[in-house]
Amino acid sequence: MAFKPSDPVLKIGFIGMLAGKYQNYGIDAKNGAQLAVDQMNAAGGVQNQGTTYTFQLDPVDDNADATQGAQSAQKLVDDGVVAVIGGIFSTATIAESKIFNDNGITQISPSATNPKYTAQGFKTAFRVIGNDVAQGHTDAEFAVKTLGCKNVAILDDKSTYGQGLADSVNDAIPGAGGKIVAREHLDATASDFTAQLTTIKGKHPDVIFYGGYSAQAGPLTSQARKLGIKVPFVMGDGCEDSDYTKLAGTDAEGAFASNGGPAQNLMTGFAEFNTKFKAKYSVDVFQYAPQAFDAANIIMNAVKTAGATKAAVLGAVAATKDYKGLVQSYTFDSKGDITTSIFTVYKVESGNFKAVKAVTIGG
Amino acid sequence: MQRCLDLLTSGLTPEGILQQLINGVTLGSVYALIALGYSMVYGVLELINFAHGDVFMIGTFVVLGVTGQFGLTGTSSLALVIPVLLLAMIAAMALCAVLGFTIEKVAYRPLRRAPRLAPLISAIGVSFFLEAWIATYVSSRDHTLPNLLAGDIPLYADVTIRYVQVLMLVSSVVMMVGLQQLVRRTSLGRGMRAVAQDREAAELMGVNMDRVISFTFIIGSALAGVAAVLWMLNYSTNQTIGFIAGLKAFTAAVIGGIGNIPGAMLGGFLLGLAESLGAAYISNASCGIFSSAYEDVFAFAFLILMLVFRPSGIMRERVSQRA
Repeated sequence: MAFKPSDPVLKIGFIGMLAGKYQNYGIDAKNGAQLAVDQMNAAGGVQNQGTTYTFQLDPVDDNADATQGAQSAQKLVDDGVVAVIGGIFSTATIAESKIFNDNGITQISPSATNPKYTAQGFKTAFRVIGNDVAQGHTDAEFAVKTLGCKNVAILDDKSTYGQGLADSVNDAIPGAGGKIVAREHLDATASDFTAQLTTIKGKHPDVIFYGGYSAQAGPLTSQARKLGIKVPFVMGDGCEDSDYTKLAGTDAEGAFASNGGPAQNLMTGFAEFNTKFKAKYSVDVFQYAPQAFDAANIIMNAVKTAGATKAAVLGAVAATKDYKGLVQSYTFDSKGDITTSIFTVYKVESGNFKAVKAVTIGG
Repeated sequence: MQRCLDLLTSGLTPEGILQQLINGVTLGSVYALIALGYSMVYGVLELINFAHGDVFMIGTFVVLGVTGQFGLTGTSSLALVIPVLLLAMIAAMALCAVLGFTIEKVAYRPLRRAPRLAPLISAIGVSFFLEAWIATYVSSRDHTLPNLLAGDIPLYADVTIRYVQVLMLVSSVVMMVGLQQLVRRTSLGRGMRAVAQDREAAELMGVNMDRVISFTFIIGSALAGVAAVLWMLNYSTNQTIGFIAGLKAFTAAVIGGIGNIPGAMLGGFLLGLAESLGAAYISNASCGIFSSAYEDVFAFAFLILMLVFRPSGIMRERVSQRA
């Protein structure tokens, strides 16, 4: 009787905030990746040179924080993962990317948009979402050209993501024909923003851009309205979610926020994806689950074409060209960014974000 | 240089300064209410009760719970909003008081004769416990109240004071005056002052020390409950808010002179003003070198300067008044 070893199970890491303030993003993306893995295993896994591989997701928490991120990344390295999905937030993702690069492990972030992530010269860093230079450009053009607001006030939360995006908007405003009348910062742990808002009010902007996350954007919007600031808010992908509309309540009405990828209702196959997602996790897709689902499939597809070593996966992921995912078609450039980024600008109407404008950059 | 002068004058309008002063004083009034809890406990026990900020945080969740029960929205009539807010205040005060009383009994009383570091570490443990408990069993998300008591009173040019800000100022001043009277005029207050001056002598003179200490925790925590209502009318909460608000209030208590009640109030107002004016005018005052990103740097630099040049705080020298 010939001995047949059982088919190998490959570990794919997932890293993101799974408990804490922004756990919604992390859990949602983890669930998206898990769904891709489960579907692939249910279909019998992938075959390469006569070996059948199935997959197991290995999730770790990075607390959206650089220190914890580096430790958790090291844990994934020690666990022997072939590739990683994550992190979710830029600050942690950038810290993690060094560890993965040192160990030759492919990392695909579904959501980290800070330009620095792929600008460090790491061969292992990829993302399946447009970066903040492209997003900042989209937001600046939208505020100045589409909304016709010439005088722009810019606020950010000093995080790698928030300040990075605000800087991109700052750089793109003059080119779009606008003028920056105020540039203010708030502290990511602060609750009172009236000082900054009073300063902004005195500069009479036509629009306020905020770079940061919904946990503060919601109260910020409410405090602005209480101070009698009536101009619209334009924000980035950190605010386009139900937390923002819940926290700001009726003050959220008329606010704009951009996000990577096409609107969910314009995404082919999204309805079916959401049905399966909800059947499994009893919640609707929150934010980056589709991108994480695509990232997982890109990795598993790479195993199918090139085999199960870290180097083979890295080579195959880097060569990804016109891979048709749920969100869009992906081709990576030499830095690990996608060559075509799609952004959608949403507006809050009756308590929900509704897509108002789609923008395609590159491609 | 000319650019500097332009920058300095361009941002400084009387309206702007007045508005920032109003913002600062109202923010400071909440810091002051929380600071009282730190100061009173330090006065009687010489313990920095690091769990106090988390008692305040629990208070904000009680307020959320009560207002949520009644389904308040931004358009609810005042006839509903005012009773519900009063109820929320009573509930938050009561729950915080019970919590403060329990924390003292469970975490500090058994360590009263232990080295001073032991209750301090126990306090940090309680703080972590409360944060983790809320995050696990209640919510780890951010929450706000709808815009209740909307509207404002015009003061001068386009400077306004909102009804909520008036309420914050009035209720915190009323609470502080009430506390001051309690400490000065009641037998309980006399007991608190006696324990603060000399614990053993007070006990020998027949002061029931356990009772005095329990009441100190109950009163300080109830004030944190009031602060929680005022906080929720303006700001948002999550399980970590107690740390930041507590840190600010503790700073206020130290600036004012820890252990001193009027000092805690003064420290709260000063810190609120330093933050508001700092965030608004750092950029102008430093020729654009510093931005409003340095708000907290300046607030805490104030603390460091205070500790270096007047470590006992502004009002510490009136020892006989501390309680």
